[in-house]
Amino acid sequence: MGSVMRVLRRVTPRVARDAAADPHGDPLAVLMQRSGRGDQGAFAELYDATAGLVHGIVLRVVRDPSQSEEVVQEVFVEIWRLAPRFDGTRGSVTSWFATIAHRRAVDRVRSEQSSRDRVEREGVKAIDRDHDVVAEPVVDRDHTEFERRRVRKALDRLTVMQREAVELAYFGGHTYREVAALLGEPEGTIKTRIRDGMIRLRDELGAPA
Amino acid sequence: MSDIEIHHLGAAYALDALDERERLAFEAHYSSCEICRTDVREFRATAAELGGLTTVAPPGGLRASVLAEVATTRQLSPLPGAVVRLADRRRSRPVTAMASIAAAALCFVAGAWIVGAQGGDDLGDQVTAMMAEPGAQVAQLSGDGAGTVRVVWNAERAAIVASGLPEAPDGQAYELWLIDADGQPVPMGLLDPARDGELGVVVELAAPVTPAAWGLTVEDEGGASVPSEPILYAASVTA
Repeated sequence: MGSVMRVLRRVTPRVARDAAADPHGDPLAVLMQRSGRGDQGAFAELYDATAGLVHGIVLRVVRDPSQSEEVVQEVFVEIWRLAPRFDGTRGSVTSWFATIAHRRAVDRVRSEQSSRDRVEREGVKAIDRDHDVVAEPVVDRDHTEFERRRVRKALDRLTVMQREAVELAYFGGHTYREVAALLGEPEGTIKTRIRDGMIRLRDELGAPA
Repeated sequence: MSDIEIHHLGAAYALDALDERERLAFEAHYSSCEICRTDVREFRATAAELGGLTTVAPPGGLRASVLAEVATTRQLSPLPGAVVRLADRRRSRPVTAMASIAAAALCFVAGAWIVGAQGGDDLGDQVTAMMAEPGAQVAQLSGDGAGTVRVVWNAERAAIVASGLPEAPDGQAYELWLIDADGQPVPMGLLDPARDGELGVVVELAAPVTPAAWGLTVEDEGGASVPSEPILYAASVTA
């Protein structure tokens, strides 16, 4: 993500120089490469650049702050273990981190209680909650604000129903079957809505590098 | 699940919105389906952008705690060859790769025999077709080693889909085992990922099987009649 790169360039000029030599131009990829060779200093820089993203995703899904903290720690330790196998041709560093963070968060909530319990307990809350995504105080507020506006604008291009389905799945950590149960709609309808919504979002945001 | 439907699961998969069974089925399919791989890569990037909406700085103490654990955590070894590159190689040498794997896999085994062994999109298509048939089941084998091993089976066929496995030692190969309800191991076929990092084998079943478990071991390249310890990857099957 561009915003993270901008922050990083400001904070660590050394990394930006390395990135200039890197054909893909992603300074995080350079840090990833070093982390993969056991460089804990590079990993600390990666942590600083991405902790807000990882924690934000986990907290949104898990909700409980102390459990979220545990999951964030698991996520970073897993990233460290897997770092030697990171392959930049399969996606960006931030995309990979976000994928692992979301997966771990979802694993945590799904192992905690049966899906049905969760749907019953949180169903009403999830549907009634405000769809406007409010960002908590963050370290790099200025630099990510532009990026957020871009994503919010893209979200606004979705139909209300598409947006609802995508948000319940991603932020709520629900399977599409659970989303269908929450909304009282057929599973096939929700599956299609999620797919159509994600296609539109992807097209609005532009394909990844 | 129809052929077309499985190609449409990429978005839900990238959002972690599939239930366990569908997730395993899709993973067995997408690693060998170029369209779905692209979908997943792009949808994951899109999902990451959504994730960026809610960045929240973690508590300050977490940094030291993470770095302390990292300092005492061993990293995995890099894979012998990146799977992405293998996909290209597969295209450029399909005949060689298929011939070598088929040669390794051609052996008669009790209750089952190998009819074909392929990497690549043909396998993906076969797995997709199998998943579409009623009664298809999927198991993901887990173990300490790297990579993923999944078995998809129905009444007629079983398919092994493996990627990122460490290379088997010289003169040895991975062998898949079905453990039946009485705890008896049945050899199901050999696979040698040394040649193709990402690989599958389709086994035609003489009769429907009711596995209690699946296991993967390393055996001499001719195959074994009983599995050698340790079982490297295994999954138990709940009826």
